[in-house]
Amino acid sequence: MAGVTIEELGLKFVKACMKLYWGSWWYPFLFAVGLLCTLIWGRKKSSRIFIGYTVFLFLTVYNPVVVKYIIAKLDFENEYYRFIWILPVIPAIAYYGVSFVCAFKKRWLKAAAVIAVLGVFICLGNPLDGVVKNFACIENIYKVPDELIEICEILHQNMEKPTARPRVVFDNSLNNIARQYDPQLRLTISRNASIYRAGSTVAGEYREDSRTYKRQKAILDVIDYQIYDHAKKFRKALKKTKTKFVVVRKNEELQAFLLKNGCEQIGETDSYNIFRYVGLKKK
Amino acid sequence: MREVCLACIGFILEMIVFFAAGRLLSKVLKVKGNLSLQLVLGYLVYFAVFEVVMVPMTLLWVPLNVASVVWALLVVICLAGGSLLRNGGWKRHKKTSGKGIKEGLKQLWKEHSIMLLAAVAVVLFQCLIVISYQDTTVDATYYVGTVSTSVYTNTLGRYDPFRGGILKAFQARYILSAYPMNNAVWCKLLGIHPIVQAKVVMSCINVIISNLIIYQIGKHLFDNNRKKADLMIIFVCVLQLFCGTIYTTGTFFFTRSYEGKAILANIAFPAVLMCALWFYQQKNEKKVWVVLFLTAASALAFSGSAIIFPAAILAGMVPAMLMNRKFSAIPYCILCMIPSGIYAAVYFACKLGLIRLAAS
Repeated sequence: MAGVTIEELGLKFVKACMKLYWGSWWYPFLFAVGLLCTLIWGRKKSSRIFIGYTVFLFLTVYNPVVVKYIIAKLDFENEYYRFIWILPVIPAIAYYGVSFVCAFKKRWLKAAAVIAVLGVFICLGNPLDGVVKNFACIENIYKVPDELIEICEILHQNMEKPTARPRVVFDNSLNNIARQYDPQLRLTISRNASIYRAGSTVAGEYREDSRTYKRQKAILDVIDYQIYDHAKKFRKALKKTKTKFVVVRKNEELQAFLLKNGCEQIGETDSYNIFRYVGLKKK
Repeated sequence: MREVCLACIGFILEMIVFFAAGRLLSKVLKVKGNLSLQLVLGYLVYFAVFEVVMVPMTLLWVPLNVASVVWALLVVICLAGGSLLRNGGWKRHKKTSGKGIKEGLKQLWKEHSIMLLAAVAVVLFQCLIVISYQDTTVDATYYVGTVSTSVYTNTLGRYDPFRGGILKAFQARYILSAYPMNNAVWCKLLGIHPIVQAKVVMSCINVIISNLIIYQIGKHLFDNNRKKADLMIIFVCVLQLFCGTIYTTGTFFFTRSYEGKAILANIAFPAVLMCALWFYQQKNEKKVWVVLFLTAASALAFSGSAIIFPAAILAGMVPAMLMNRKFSAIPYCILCMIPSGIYAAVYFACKLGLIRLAAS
């Protein structure tokens, strides 16, 4: 999980992960209240299974000592949150909610209880970003920006042969989705190199002095970070990686840099410029 | 429009296949279950078998078109078996009870009443969300990219989905889970675009199956009271919508339902809870262990994270065993952990360099 390591937090690692996972403690609190109710009133009910789950998991994979000495060795720190998936907190809270509703005999009281329970869930919860708030709606059935489809058409029109598999540099807004839509394209920048350049080692680490990474970094510096100090390195990287096309968000400075460094513009969309890399002409 | 039609055809066909597989399994196991349980069982057995068939084919560099034909044949056999059983079962059902569809619907309404409509509306709403949600996570670069790349190159995962070049060696953490190749197979068979198959068709199916498992859990918890189980579906939906951090099952359910990890979180782990409740209520029932084994095997198809599946099995089944005082089930429990054990052995052997899974 981002920003937490067993090495740094030791026995506090599990608590930190739980906190990161839940955001607020309200749902785990409701779960705990439900477990308490089961212990008091529901000893013969099937819901006792939730107590069993909780006890077992807190003795094993949520046990800070076990985690510190075993999970650390298994190299599962980044994915530790998947252990939290095992504990059925959501089905259990839903179960307790239904049980609460069914405690009322009259129909109208039940209906009111349903509304009350839903209100509690909504008020105590943390709405999903991108879904409940700021819904990220698709532009087409392919779930990619319309402009990517347009860009791919322009690239295909400019290919030497219809079956060619040109290497393309996309900036970070399109690099990770381009091949999902159009697998004929080959990308110069790897997803993992891009993530590593952004400062994260979640997807893997690169040797800074390796030739492959150095070339990708030289290109990333220009197209994603607008660092124009090493034009020669950039040109060399495009040449060595056999890049045919460069697609970047519209930016006058970047456009001028690319035109000056062996790229010729072959098309544009509302927000993107598309270039073909031809290299610098010898004088 | 073509893609929409293909997506609808794909959805219907794949659901029929899951149902037929479930029908067959129910017959073999003599499980008395309704449509919902059969769909869940069908989904689990389908992916368990798919994993067993497709991983060796992947490692043997079998082309995608050949793999698709082999799988299509198996699907046709399954469909034929399922439909024969269905006809037989239906005729028998009509003879014995004399009930028609009308009677069946009446019974359904009696058991669920208005709650059925509410639950169906909630599931449709969830499907609408996953269909119209624009995902931006970098993980899709692999999960969908590998499908697109496999379809384009007519291979089973032998090309790098990130950049498009051929791989020297398969990545053990990905290639032992065949779920993305299921999408590739259906794309090859039906001509659906990989993004549509992965992010629309399968996402909707995953949402439905996940809800059906919650429904089954509800039925077990509320002594077969279907109305309460329906209400539980509604409550789970709201809770999933409001447990918003990037790690929760809800986030994976609504925003990344095409990923194997999301299926692990929202189908495989809840299926263990379903089995635990089933075992707790019917301690002498052997079928539950078969279903749990299939869940464990199918979990491998979904994600490499199924390596932690033994923890889920133990968390569900050990308390149930203790509460039932049924310690004779321990060997079955161990047996259900074997798929993950095999996976872990191969994965760590690859990681330690003892095995190299060559891709070219």
